[in-house]
Amino acid sequence: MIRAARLLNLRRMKRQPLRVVLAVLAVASGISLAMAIFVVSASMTASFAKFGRSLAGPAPLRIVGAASRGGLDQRVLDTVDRTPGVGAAVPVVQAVTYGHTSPTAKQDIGVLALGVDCRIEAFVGSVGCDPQALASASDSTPLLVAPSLARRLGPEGEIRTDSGSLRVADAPTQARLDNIGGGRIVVFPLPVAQRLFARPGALDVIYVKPAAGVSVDVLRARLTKAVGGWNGVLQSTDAPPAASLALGAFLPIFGMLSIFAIAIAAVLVYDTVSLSVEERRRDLAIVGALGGRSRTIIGGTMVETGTLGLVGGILGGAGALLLARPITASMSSFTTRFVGIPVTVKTTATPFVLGAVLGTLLAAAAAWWPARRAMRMDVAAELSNRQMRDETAAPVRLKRAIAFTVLAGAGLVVCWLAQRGGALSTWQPIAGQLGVALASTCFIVASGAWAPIVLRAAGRGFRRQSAATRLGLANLVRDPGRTATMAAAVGAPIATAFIILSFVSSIHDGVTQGITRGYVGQVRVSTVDPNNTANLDSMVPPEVISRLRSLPGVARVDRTAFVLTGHETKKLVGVKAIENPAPKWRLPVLNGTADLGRVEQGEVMVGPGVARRLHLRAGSTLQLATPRGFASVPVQGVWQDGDTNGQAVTTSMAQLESLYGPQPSPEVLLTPAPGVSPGALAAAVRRAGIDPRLQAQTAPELATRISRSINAQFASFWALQRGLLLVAFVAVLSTLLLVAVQRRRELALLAAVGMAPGELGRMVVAEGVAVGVVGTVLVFGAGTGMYFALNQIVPIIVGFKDPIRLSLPAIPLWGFVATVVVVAAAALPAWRTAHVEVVENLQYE
Amino acid sequence: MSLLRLEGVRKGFRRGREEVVALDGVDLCLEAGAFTALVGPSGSGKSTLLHLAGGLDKPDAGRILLEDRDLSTLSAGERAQLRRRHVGFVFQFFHLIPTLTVAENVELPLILDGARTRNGRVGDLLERVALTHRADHVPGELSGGEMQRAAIARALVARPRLLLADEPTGNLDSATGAEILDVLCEQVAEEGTALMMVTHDLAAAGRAKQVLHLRDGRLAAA
Repeated sequence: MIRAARLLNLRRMKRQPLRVVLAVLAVASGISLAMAIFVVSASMTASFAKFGRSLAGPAPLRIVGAASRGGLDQRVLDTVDRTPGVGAAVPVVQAVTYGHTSPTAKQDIGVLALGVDCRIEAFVGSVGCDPQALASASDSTPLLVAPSLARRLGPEGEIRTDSGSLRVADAPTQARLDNIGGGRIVVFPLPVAQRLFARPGALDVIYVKPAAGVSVDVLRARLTKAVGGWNGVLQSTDAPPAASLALGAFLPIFGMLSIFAIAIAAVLVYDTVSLSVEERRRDLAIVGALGGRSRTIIGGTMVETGTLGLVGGILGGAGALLLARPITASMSSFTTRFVGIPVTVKTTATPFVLGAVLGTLLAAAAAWWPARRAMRMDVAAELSNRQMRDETAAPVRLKRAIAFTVLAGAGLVVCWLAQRGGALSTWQPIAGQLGVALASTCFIVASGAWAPIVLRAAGRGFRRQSAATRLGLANLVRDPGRTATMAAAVGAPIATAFIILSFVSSIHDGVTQGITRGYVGQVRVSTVDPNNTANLDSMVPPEVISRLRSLPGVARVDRTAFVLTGHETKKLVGVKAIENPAPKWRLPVLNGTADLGRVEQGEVMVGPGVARRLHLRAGSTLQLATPRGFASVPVQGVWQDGDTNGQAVTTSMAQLESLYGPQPSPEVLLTPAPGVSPGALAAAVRRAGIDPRLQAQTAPELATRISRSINAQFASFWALQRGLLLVAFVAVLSTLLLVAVQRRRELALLAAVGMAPGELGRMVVAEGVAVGVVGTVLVFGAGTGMYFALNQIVPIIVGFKDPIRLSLPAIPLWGFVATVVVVAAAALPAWRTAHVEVVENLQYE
Repeated sequence: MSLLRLEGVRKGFRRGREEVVALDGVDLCLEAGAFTALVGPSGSGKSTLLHLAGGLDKPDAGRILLEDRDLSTLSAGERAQLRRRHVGFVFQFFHLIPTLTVAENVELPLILDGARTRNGRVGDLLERVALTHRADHVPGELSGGEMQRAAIARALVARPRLLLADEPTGNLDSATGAEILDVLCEQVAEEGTALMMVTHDLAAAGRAKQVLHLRDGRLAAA
């Protein structure tokens, strides 16, 4: 069979480089998206592990608390010290903040601020540490700064703390710190760090080294039991729990885009193989007549497509590394803000190997049906030209179009069922993903299947057109398989552009509208930009809040607080509160009620993600991890809160501070005095010069800021979109060239019966235009369907329910681009057609 | 013992909504080493009979026995194996694979039967059909006569007991057609292969031992 496959299939590939390029690019595009997720994920894991190793030194274990900022009660240290098998335990404050080159510099530089005491000598060796000196150290300057950070911050450099800005220019440097966290490290005496970063009596981490001869696993088990379930004992190389939030929303969204891209790739491979099999019907019939077994035919086709998939998969692995760069940079910006760890792309052979495997499987799966069809061919009919396919083609195509449309509709229904009631049941997210995959694939295939039917209907209105146009349309109608292939190929990039634009617009509007509604009539004041900065230790200092309260025009200052609890990657809960919550903060209720008065009395509202994971409904009791153990809080209801990827709990400020201690505010909300507009108050805050880093924004200004931030976050998705479009357009171009080459015999026939060269050329161009237009028109249906499918399940993944925003102008815009490309692609075939060698091609077999 | 026997074979096709009867109760017996010509007007069912005899198609009714094996009872795989090893086909339009060389086309049945290396049989046959110098050419570079000679070599490569030829000279000039017939007749005479040839050419039919007339799906001996 191998020899037969080599001769009958692989040689064919050698002689059809265009087809090979088309299929390889199709596979590579899908695989590069899927593998990019893997590369980003692996790079993050590797970066976290490297960071963990560099920070922990010889300690294989670390104990983290119930909350990401100061969640570890300092008294736990005594428990750890008493645990048998502990060789050394080093308490550390690990705050994530920003540094700046001057008090007014705009660029934020991520900084990790550590607080340590003399126990650190157990890890780094004796450095002459004096406990008394550390205890009495001043808060005005760090103990040590990494030289590279000192250089970067310069002579006016400062960092933010929860108590304000702090100059670091005069601090001594320590070269060893450059080996930790990319050298963005500042070290304080432990008591100083606890004061500057609002962690009274609290720690972030205790690094633990086992005593000689004690197994790490045994010690980990003992410590887990000793410190209580609300604290966590992790390996030093484990990612910080809060880091998982970066991937929490990214992975599923990217996963969906990957499913979409892989579905497109599968359809393109399927179309390519179908076209190839269709063109080779006679050859396959000959092989059948000569006694070729079914497995020779099916095996050969699978070997051929498997080879294409293998090459495409390897190329996809390379593409994934390229795509991963902008995505990782975007992730790194998030992790630097959230946990102080920058992420870099890790290049290994794994994406190439996995890409090759996935590409081969994808191509083989896509080739299965065409191969089976080839296997079941009526050999005798094929060899004796007893073919009645023309008579039966139209009804079969109509049935196919209807069948795939119905299946796509079924996918939509599954998506709708998956999001019903806020998707609070555990089966719903899985069903949602399956529904999206089904809907995406079937809509693409259905749009291709409808193309010849639409063209046939449209053709009736073109009876007065030129012979070239009518013949072009007739060609497309008479060969529905080929037309479907081209229409699907044209539709895919248009649909991709439309869906991503709609998706981005929808999320953008959802977030900004939500924020705007909550902040209307008030002024947000913070030292950092909004969006994913609540975990930064650059809070609004208490002194600043006092001064804001006394500012003319301020009627009230409401503090906010946010605590990220939990130490297991998928079990994080963001607990948040705002003083004097107004009814405008109410979100759509999915279960129970949302009486803010009852929230003030101790009941909590939970987001859909945490409700689904912990099976919470109105009346349930939520166990919240706190530094002093688990606290039970009653659940009033579930609402559509997308914060912390839907894993947010909203409580009163009083309850939050009773559970987690006094909290600094990442932002405060100013209510203007009567007669003072929010805009005037924001301007007054900016003019007051309370703190050079203080930002004051009205609701519309905040919306603009968040909009900018979201746009920046979507940079990676835009990079993906561009890559996908480019590949898809190349695929369309290749298909058209290929199809024109295949048709040379019938073109020769047309020339023989008297069609002028110019008309022949125009016929090909007319086909290109018709395919471009019909592909564009069909995307209105297919693209909208796919977008609806995605829109339904986005709330399950990111927590936010975003409004439906159809970027309809994207369809004609990208449709025009696609049609131009199609016509450009048709130019060469048209020229060749006009110069067709009549006699030679009529004799061609 | 007959090599090929058809008993009450019936075969129909659907063309649109109409049922077309191609063969209607055909009985036929073919001995080893016999050259039988099958003649008849277009659409009389000649090619259908050939396809049924070679196991490419299945009858709607009746039995087809090749060396006493009822083809209707064989699976598709078993019929394919039978074609590879016992039946050779020659078609009017040659049906060579355009991407394979002449030698590879000739060798194809052996390759499909699992041959890993080329044996001397391919070279011998190419020599016999005077195509040695064209062995590495692709079909597009051959004349019609050369292509048909290559197709005959392919049909003979597995030493089949039954050779089925569907208008092998129909696309060739008379001189080339006569050459092709010479090759086929030699095979019948030297190797004892049974040859059933569909033809419109009365001169070609005249070289057969037995001529069968097919009209409206029914058979009548000349």
